[in-house]
Formats: sequence, structure tokens, C-alpha cells
Amino acid sequence: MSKKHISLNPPIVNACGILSYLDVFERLEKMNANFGAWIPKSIGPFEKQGNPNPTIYHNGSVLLNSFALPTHSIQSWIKEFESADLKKPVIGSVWGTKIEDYRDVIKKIDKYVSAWEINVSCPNKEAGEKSLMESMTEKIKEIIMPLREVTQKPIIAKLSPNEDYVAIAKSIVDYVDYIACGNTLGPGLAVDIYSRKPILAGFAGGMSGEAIKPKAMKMVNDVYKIASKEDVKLIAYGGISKWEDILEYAIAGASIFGIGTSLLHKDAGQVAKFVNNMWKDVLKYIEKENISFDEIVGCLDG
Amino acid sequence: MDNKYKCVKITKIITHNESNKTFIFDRSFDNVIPGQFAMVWLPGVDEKPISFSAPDEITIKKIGPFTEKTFNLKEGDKLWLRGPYGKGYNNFEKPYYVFGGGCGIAPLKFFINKNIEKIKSIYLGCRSKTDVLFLKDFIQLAEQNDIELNIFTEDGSFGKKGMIIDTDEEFSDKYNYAVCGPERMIKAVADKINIPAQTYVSIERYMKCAIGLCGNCSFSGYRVCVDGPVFSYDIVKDLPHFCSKRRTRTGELVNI
Repeated sequence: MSKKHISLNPPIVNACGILSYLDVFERLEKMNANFGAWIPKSIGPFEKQGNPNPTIYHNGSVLLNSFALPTHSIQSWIKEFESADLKKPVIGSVWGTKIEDYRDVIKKIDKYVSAWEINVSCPNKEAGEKSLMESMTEKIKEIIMPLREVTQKPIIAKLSPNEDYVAIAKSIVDYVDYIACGNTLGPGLAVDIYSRKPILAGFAGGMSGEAIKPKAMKMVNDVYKIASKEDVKLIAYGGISKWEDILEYAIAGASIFGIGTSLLHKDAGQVAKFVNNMWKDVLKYIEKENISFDEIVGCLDG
Repeated sequence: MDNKYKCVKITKIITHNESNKTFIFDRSFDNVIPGQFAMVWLPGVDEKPISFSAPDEITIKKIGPFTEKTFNLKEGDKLWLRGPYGKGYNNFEKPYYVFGGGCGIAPLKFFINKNIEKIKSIYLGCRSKTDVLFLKDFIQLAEQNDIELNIFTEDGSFGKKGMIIDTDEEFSDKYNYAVCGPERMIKAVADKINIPAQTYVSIERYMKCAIGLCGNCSFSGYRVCVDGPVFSYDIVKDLPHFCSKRRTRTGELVNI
């Protein structure tokens, strides 16, 4: 079956869980922040508080987060979608605790989005909660396989760098249009020496930022070797903070590029400048090197 | 910018009244601008955004489980802070009128102390005399620096009886205006001043990361932690969430 791809201009998105809300995206569009699509906070089957604060910890080189998928109800998401006024397409993100959850959320929200990112890889959990996603590794194929019945939109499987992503990619490559590489690494632990307690209220948290880029690069390239044969394209996440990072990920095999941690401390104007300059510099490189972007994607593997 | 926690020791606690306390610590955040906030963490409890009331001091209003726990702290106990974060009051082209209500008086005390030669007039509005935080300090600094001080209490227990907006003063565009307090008070005061481009107001929303990433503090799309908390009233006055909506911990938009 031929794959469904969306054309994003530029091929840059925010990582899920970053910026999160439609009104934030509207504001960034007004500031002319040139993202190719927006990914709102992952939507789940029921309202969920997530962990209390502290939910993030940044030690200067790595960011830990343990939000643990807070979300409001599908009904209140629909209200936000109904009143949103966005020029760029929206890629929905969905999480669940069982197979049916994903189908249910997608059915209800499908008309508001241009593609679906299937979150089967969040490493975080609330205290006392059974891990939402680790236990799901075995079920990823079962979750993804039937989704084509409920949506005609491109399907993106967001995988974890912490699992056997090569095996998982092989098992789902026939049923998806994109694979996103990947969710946060870890989880990792940070402790405070004066309270002698964990810093994150959720104890441990997924790691992101520039320091994890080599791991995500390897993941992109490993998955590219499987995905490219089936015309499945890749979204790269992991420490993208300058124009060269986009090109490096493209060389390794990615076609779309997600930005997250590097937006830290940036107000709306700074976000716009940051992302716009990054893409401008990529285009400059392409012109100078006299090569097309498509030629770069996956060129590491000849 | 450094996001590591600074563990500070509380050297002094000022109990203003039963719902407001000021915690002074053994360490000064020298780079903090008035209007900026810290994420204040009590390990095992929670972490909340609190404005500085001096470079070595925060003032907390008791409103929930976290602030109740902080009210149990004693001198010598520890507090954990990361920050300072956000945009403070920073336009000094013109001298300032300052309007404070309730707990919003605390960050303005810091603003006034740091910019004393730029302060023309101070307006404070509270329910009762005991709610006027730092009353003695304000009286003293007004006298010493020849600043007009107008205090309004709803019950008439101090100053003029009435609301902070019960003034006949004509406001001119020769001044800037700093306003901090409950959102409805901000609206009432800033509308009365009616010079929105020269009026700066401080907005509060539920915060998680405080560094611009998670979006939870979105105020009609403005992330309060990085785009604010101090905004020009020219921006705020027309935003649909102003005096109307806030996001809860799940991110849901609810009525205020």
C-alpha cells in the first residue's frame, strides 16, 4: 500500500509536550515563527493530572521531565480545536493505556488534525502508577495495526530509544507512514544533596537536549535502514539546537525535524527568530553545496 | 541561564497577618529584576512560582497545601529556589506611579526600593489595615523620599475608606504605571489610568516548567513564564483570557 506523506514547509515541528496548546501556536504564528506544523500536547482517553511539581530539572546539559502525560478531557480539547485559528497543519498526538484508547481518541479528534503521532513511548509515570508505556512495547504492533480503519491521515509511530526499536520498527513498518525517533531517553534520576531527595516529584524523568543527540542520531540511522525500503519517512527528535543538527539528522535519514528543549528560556519573539534563522541557514547550505534536500536525506547509507 | 536549585536558609520570617508571611534568606539573588519570580520548591511537597519582594526575600500568601506547608517553616529552615525567571518591570524612560493590591504589594515594594528616585506616587488598596503589607516601610520611604502615598482600605481602618480606584487624580502620559494585585483589581486600575501602552501589569497562571517549554501557563497564547509575568497593559487588555480564563494542572481552560 502506498504511503501517505504530508508536505511541511519548512519540515520543522515542535516536539510533543513543548508549547503544547493551540493558543500558544496561534501566538507564535502571529510572531511569524515558521514551523511547518504544530503538535499539541498528547491527548489521552481520560483527564489526567500528571505529576506534581517539580516536573522538570535542567542541570545545564540535560533536561529531565516527568510531566507524565497530563491532559484534559477530549470534550475540552474539542472546544479548543473548534475555537482555534491556525494557518499551519496540526499533527495530533495520542496516548492510551490500552489498544482501544488510541482508536477512541483518534475517532473523536480526527477531523481537527492532518496527521497522527502515536505516542507509544513515554518513559514517565506518576508515583504509584504502573508504567504506561514500557509494558506496552509488546503491544505496539497491535495498537498501530488497526488504526488505518479509523483514520485516513498519515500515521506516525513515535518510538522509544529505550526499547528494541529496530525490532519494533520492523514489526510496524507496513502499517505506518512515518516513524518518529524518538521519545525522551532514560528515564534518568536527579537528586538534591541538601534534602537528600529526588528532585522530580515523579522520581525519574525522560532525558532530552543536546547531550542525547548522538543516541537519537543512531536511532534515526538504524530505523532508516528498515523504514526507507518501505517508503516510511522519519521524524528526528533529540537536541536539535542549530542548523547543522537538522542537516546531520537528514544525512542520517530524517525528513522532518522536531524542536523541543532548545526552546528553553525563549519568549515568543526569540522562538520565531531561532527557528526561522535555523531554516534559513539550512537553505543557505543547500544552495552553497548545490544539492537538494531530498538528496541529503539518508545519504549516509548511499 | 542556570536552572539549578539554590538551597537557602531562612534567616528571618515576617508575619504580616494570618495569611501573609515574608521569608528572608541568607543568600541574595543579585541579578533579580523586580517583577521576576523564583520557582520555590519544598522537597516532597510541591514547587510554585513566587515573586521576589527583595533580592533575598519572598512573600507568600497562604492559599493552598503548598503555602500552608511553607507557613510551618521556622527561621533556620531551608527553602529551594530556581530562577530568577521571566520579565520584570523594566521601562524607566518616565517616572512611575505604583499601584498595589493584596499580595501584589510585595513585589512592588522591591520595585520601589530599587528605583526610588523614579517613583512619583504610590497607591495601595486593601481590605483592612492589617492587609497592607510592609505598611511601616511604605510610610517611612514615602516620607524620606517625598513620594505621595495613597492608602485605601475597604473598611476604613487606615488611610482613605474605599477602593484603590476611588481617586480623582488625573493620570498623564508623562508617567509610567506599575500595577500588581488580583486580576480584577489590575483591570479596574489600569482601565481607570487609561494609558495602556505605559501601564505594566503582572499576571499569574499555573506554572510547571517556568522556562517556556511546557505551555501550561499560557495566557491567551502568551507563556507567562517567559513572555511575562510583567506585560504591557496594551497587550493584556484585549486578551480573551484576561479576567476570564486560566489553565489548570491538566492544561484545561476553565473560568476564573
